[in-house]
Amino acid sequence: MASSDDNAPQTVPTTTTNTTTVTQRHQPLYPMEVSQDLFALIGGAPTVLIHKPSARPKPKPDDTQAAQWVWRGFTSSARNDDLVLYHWVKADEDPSDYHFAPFNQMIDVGEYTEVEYDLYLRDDDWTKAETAYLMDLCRQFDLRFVVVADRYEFPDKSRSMEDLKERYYSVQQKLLRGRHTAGPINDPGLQRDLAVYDYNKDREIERKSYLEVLYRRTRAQVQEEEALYIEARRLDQNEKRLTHERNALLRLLNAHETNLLLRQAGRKARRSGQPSNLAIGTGSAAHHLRLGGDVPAHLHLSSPLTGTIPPGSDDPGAAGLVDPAGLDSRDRQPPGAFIRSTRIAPVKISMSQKVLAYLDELNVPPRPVMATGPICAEFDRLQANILALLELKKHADKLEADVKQATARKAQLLGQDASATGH
Amino acid sequence: MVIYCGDEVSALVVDVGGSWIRAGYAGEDTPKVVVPSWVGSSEVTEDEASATTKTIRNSKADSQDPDVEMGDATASQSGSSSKDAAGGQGDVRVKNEPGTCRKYYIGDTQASTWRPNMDIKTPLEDGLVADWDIYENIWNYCFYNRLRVQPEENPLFVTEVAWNTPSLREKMVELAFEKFNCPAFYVSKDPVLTAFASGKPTGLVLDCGGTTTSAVAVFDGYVLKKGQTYQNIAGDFISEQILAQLKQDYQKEVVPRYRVAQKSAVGPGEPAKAVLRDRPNTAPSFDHRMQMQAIHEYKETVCQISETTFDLDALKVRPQKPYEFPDGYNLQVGVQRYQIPEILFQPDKFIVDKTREVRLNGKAVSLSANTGVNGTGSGNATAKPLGIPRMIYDCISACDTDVRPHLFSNIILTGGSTLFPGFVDRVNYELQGLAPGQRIKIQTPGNTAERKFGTWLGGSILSSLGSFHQLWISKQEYQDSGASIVNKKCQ
Ligand SMILES: Nc1ncnc2c1ncn2[C@@H]1O[C@H](COP(=O)(O)OP(=O)(O)OP(=O)(O)O)[C@@H](O)[C@H]1O
Ligand SMILES: [Mg+2]
Repeated sequence: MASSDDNAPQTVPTTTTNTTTVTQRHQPLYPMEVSQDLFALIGGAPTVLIHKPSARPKPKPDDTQAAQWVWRGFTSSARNDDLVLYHWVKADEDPSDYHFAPFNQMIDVGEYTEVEYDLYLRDDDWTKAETAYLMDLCRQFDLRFVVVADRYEFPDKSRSMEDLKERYYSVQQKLLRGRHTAGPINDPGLQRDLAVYDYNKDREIERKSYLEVLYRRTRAQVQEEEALYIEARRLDQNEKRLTHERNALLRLLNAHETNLLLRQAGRKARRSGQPSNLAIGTGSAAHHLRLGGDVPAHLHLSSPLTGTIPPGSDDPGAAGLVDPAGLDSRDRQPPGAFIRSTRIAPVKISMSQKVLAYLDELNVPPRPVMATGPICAEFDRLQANILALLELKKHADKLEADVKQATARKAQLLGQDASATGH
Repeated sequence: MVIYCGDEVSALVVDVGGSWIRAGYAGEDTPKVVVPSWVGSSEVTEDEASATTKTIRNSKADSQDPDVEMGDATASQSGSSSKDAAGGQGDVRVKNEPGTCRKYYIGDTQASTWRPNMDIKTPLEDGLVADWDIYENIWNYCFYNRLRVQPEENPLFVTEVAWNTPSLREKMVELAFEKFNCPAFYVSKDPVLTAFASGKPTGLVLDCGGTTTSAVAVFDGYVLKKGQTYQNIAGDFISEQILAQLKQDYQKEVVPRYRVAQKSAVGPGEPAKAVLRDRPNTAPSFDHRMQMQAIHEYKETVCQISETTFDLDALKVRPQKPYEFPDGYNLQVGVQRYQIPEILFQPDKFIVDKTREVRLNGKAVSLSANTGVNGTGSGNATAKPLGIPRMIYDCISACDTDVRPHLFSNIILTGGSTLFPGFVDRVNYELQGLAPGQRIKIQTPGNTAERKFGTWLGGSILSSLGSFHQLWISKQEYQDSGASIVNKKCQ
């Protein structure tokens, strides 16, 4: 035992000294002109960890005496008699009391006198002797009521665990109340003490009867229950999906309507010079939409545009509640710092080639070089315009082709006609 | 040392089971002494006996004084039966008639050596001590002949079955203090110790040993008496049934090894060609015990338990196992090797020899044909033998609802007969069916030694704990309060 104790702390230092010698040999490890911290950030030099197995340190000649062990008798204060048992102990160990005697802890279940019993504890159902028997068992089994109920054998009585618990706890409460002579009965300290011994027998019996029913289920019942549970989960998930879809739909609608309302309100405000109309406008938008589907109002307010509008004054519950699901992915703040240029609206892959080509034509780089706010916004607008332009061009091309085809056909038809009339 | 809370006081731990006796020092992980608990017993004349006892008890040089004291003690506490008074023994011998006395042969080699007219006896019946004379001699043998210790110097820790009666426990304390002069004594229940050896204070212990199978709930180190069941369908019962099955299916009478002088090879299923020894005056109990030994070997080699519901057709296609009996007779064992152990799970269907008595909780149950009609067996007249999963389930159901989940998740299987391959799987499978929706977890020691010695091991651990030493019944306490103190102190 002693040797392993000696070894453990010694092997650790030897390893560390080995590694440090290696690092010293490769000096300097970082270029002198770069600060050490920066160098570490760049990555630094790979650490070389060489563990050289060191030879076991020679055991130092130990001039202390080997511990003496003696076969000695002992008594324990945990016992009521003076039984002497023998064991091996170190000769210098203190023989005053047995090492394990303090582990002998007893639960104090309380004592009462005859007088106290007559004063407070009388009960029609319980005799004095039976109460004493119960308290004895509680003491003996350290209040393990499962065991107490199992071993309870009082002549001509059969008691359930609930009976026993009720009696025990009521005895404790009555004693506490009876002994509490100083101070009022509603003293908080006393009430706290009493609460420890609160026991509701009826509720306990009810609880156990439920457990019993649960325990007695047959295999078929358990299976049915499991199947039902799975079915319920499935329904639940379905519903979630439906609400999610409907919300997405409503959001679209909402965005559209709010846009409209906003424009109206803006126009009105411009006319009357009262910005408060905005709030009424959104409120009515929410009301309006609620007719369409019974989705909580805050969902309506969560369109991308409502971020700029003060929350509806007639809908206090909605204030400050913005459903994260209602936010456009662009409006959602990514956590931490981010690069602004990454927030530029992405272009559809099928279109990106054409957009890039157009940008190139305009001598604009594919990404803003200096991505300040205005530049990004401008770039976004440009990109959107290009897209619109391309879209229009495509449309125009198509129309042109149609026209061409139509004229060709017309010419053909006219030609036929001409030839026909020519005949 | 202190970290493990261990403190050895050189206690002795003795576990006398239905088929094996295990004895050794507390704090060790296997018993020093493992001998069969069946002993040879024959009547000898006085001087013959004294000649042999000297050799047996040579290590006990100063044994005279306590012995004399013992004789007095037995005479004074004459409350016990007259049989004990008659057996006022101070030695291995028991006076029967003038001039003769009983001599016991204990230990594997001693008891299985053929001697004319030597009977084989066991001290226990349904796990309860029925023959104190043998019981005492077993202790004697363990202490003086095998462990070679002086019991006066060592605290003694003994195991008992959960259903041991108060009066038998009192007798045991008397034996320890009056006859063996132990300084301290403690007796603890098998299931508690088994649970302890598996590191569980709470659990359901199913012990399927040699003579009894028992299911007992343990809560926080205390046995819960309500609901405990025990039944005599265990290893020995299975072996008896195999004997009957061999007779019925193969017309084979098992010839024990002691009768075979020489054997010669024969084909499978052919009658044995063996030269038998002439052993006149063999006691029937000796011959039977030797037959059982042969069967035990057969059983432990080939028998197996179906992992799921017993399905004859599925088991028929499983590989056969060859086995050769001591006289050279050999056979390929097919589905038969599954049929008999199945008794442990479906006793009412698979018992071959229905004349054997089955006792449930010490009372005989009927095996007649009309069983199996009413499943729930309301009256005690129609009590049926129980399969092991039933025993477990019934025992747990008898406990408080709040404790049940703990018991289900700590089912401890122990005892030699749980070593049948497939046993643990089958118990698990059946319990899933009986208690659906419960989390069932079966804890079994992986190695065979721990399953055979689980009880002893628990005793060994417990009695070497520092905090245990306050629990011993000391000799002084015994003298002050009498033998009944055991029922107070050893709960
Ligand atoms: N590998 C095995 N397969 C099947 N059975 C076995 C095996 N090993 C031992 N047994 C059986 O186990 C029984 C002995 O078990 P154990 O040692 O647990 O009994 P015990 O504790 O002395 O008896 P009990 O618990 O009934 O008082 C014997 O009947 C023996 O045939
Ligand atoms: Mg056993």
